[in-house]
Amino acid sequence: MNKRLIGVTIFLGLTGGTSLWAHHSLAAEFDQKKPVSLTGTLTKLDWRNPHAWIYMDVKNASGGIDKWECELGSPNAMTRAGFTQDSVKVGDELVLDGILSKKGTNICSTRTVKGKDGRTVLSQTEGAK
Amino acid sequence: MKYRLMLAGAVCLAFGSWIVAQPQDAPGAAKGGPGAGKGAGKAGKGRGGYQPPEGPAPKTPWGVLDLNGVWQRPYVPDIERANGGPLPYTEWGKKQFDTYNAEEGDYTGSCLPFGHSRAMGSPDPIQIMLTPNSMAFLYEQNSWFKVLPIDGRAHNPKKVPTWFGDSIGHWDGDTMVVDTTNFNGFTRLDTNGHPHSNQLHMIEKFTRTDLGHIAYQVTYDDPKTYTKPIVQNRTFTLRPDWEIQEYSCEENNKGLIEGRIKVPDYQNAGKQ
Repeated sequence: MNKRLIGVTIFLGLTGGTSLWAHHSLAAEFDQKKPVSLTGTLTKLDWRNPHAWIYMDVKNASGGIDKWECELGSPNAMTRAGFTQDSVKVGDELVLDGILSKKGTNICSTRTVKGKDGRTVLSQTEGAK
Repeated sequence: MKYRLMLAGAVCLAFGSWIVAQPQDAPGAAKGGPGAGKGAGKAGKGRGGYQPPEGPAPKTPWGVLDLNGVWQRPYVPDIERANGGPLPYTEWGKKQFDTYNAEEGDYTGSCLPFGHSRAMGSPDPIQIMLTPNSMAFLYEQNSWFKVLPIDGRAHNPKKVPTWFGDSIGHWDGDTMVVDTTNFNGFTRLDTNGHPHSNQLHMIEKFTRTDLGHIAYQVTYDDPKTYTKPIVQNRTFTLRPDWEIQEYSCEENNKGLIEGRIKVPDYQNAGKQ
């Protein structure tokens, strides 16, 4: 079993919802058959159109750190859903669920990001609660 | 081995429940990803239980139904699902859809113009501006716009074909009818990549049914691609609490900048 799967567990419960992707065809870059769940530390949030990007450090099985970068929806749409660039801050411990890139390593498209308390802090598919 | 079996079992269970849980407008496995269902016709209450203002349809000072405002539209990434059944392809049209692969070239991911149909089906809002002689669509998607005359003039056949086509409008009673032709044929009708040719003729009807809503009907008439016209109905919801925001497609388009999204050979697409 790939050791990376210990730190990057396959996420099995993707929930439905209205995606906020519109800028491009998701299939052009990401594989919906390869969901991923990451638990790690936020290092950067790049809040710019057409997609915000979230950067995280994720521990791997060897005790090292894998650097991940994952696409979010457009800041415009996420703002309307109640999220802002202040919804998270560098250093936050987060759980990110998404799907893997077809063409890059440690790259994904995000569906939801939750805090340690389980509250959704960023999402393409849910409104802020 | 033990872990692999556990993983495989969990995948089967979870994937099954995921499919069951999919709403009609959740990401689908088709060509482009997100799909839309019949329910895509209504923007309805919107996120957070939004309730639009209630009252009769307002009129402009010059006496026509007022279409001005910022409107939330249903996201329609898959017109086939919104159609409730297979699209009536011609042989040419079927080939265009069957051979489409966004992974090999994605024009919207490359920030090329969406085209009018795909921009009208995008999930972000649109602002309509109406004067006695003209109408404008301010699409938030990529900060595009379209301005068209509604003074009774005909299409100008000398215009160069464009991504968004040439539009003219007129009032038919209380309904604004927008007629668009002269497309360059480089775009797709929706996110999933349903095709059209440069023979596409779009007819859109906008009727302000009450203070909070527009009934929108779109007809796609493209005899090269479909054997009969496709007619779909949607509802737009007034959002006086929203404003159109700037949307730069080029700024942080990492997939394109870093080479994971390919620019298609769009000028030669569909010529075969």
